[in-house]
Amino acid sequence: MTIKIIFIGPMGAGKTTAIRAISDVEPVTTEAKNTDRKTSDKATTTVAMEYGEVKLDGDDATLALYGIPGQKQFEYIWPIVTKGALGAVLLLDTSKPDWIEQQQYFLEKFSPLVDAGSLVIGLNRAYDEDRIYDEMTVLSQRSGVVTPFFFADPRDKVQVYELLNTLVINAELNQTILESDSVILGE
Amino acid sequence: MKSIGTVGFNPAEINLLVKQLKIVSAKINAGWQYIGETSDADLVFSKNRIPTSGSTKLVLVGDADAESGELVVESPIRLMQLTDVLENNSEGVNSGALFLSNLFSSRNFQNSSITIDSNRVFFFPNQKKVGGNFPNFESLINVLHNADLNNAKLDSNDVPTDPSSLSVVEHSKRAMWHLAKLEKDFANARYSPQYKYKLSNWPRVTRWDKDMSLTRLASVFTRHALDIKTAATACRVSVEQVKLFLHCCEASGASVRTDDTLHLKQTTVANNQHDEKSLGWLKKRIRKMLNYDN
Repeated sequence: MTIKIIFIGPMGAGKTTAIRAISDVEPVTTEAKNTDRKTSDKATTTVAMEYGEVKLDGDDATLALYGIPGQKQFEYIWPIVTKGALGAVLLLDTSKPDWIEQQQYFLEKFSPLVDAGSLVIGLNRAYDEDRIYDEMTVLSQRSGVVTPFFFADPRDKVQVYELLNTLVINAELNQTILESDSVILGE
Repeated sequence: MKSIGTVGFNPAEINLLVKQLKIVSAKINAGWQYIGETSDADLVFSKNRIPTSGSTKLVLVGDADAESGELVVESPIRLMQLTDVLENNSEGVNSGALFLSNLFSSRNFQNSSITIDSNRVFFFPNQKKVGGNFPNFESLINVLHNADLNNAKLDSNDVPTDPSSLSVVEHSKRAMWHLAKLEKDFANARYSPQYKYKLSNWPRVTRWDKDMSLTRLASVFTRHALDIKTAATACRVSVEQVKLFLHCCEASGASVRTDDTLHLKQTTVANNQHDEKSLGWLKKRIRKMLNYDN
């Protein structure tokens, strides 16, 4: 049995790093030389997708981790990769001046996951957490949609697991809501 | 939770009072619950003088001839009058955490301190810090918890310019979160089974508390407006834990909305049915990695 989680976000946000941090196997990557050094000053970038795995207790249970490229020219594969996923982790580099626009963009593109509570945001390089927390609060209140977010260093295994934890919790809550008549959804 | 009753009110007047009560409850640090047309409540608003028993306080509404010492309000009841009456009758149900939260939100709040039994606690609103010379963070919080903060005198003299010179310095919101955690009685009084609650923004839950139920509660309250009992069932926690969670959120800056008519976009529930066993294994792995309390 396989559970799938996808890592999304703009180039350089830390998707590959996050998968590497928790994968039990050496991730399969599709890196190539980065020719867009203006957007991100990385030597290489993911050009198709990458794959990592976490073996769960029980021999045939696997957590499959898919990192999808963040460039817009790869938008067409996003729905294909997203299908059947437990949820998505959206990683953002908050040191970039356009991180809010990037967030809005990805939340719109993955809105079915947002609406289902199957998306969590990881905020990387948050050097001023108070300011960023306030900005996220304003965004939530303006849009009326609250997406869980955490300050997360994708190199840190524990912090990446914290993001996954929220997806699992929401999956369970969705199951509870489906099964229970007493939980009221809106009006 | 203190109770409010009415005598001689028509449905429109009751409806207005209930709406006003929601607004006032959000403003004052006290929990009041409307229980219906009855004289058996802590506070009773009545159009006529009626006999009351025990510690019931009677508030005359309208043109009733008041005797000396009796409380009288206009009809219809004005919001400010209701606020005054409730504030003046809310002894014993105060929150130091909410008091501090309001202070830190105030634009005029400057670096200052309060002295509690010869312990000085310093506030640095611009840097969002609270601190003092204490053995540890817990002792700072305990001192704040045992103080009557609502009546404490702020002193702007001799406040260190550098908070890091103090032995304990913490982010103000973390301090308020942990202070609120100690205010179980207040939380039980403040949050009513009659209303639905919703968080308008994501609280910084796991920054300050390693408890998986907090993420569950945050997830459910940010997505749905729920009454307390339903949230407790969905998150497998007690009603008291839900109330305390809401109180901690409010004290630390997450916006808790109270409304029994909250209209939400119909929430989509994911159709993907994930294998329960695999999900269980994933949960086990996550818990092991995060070393959570539950």
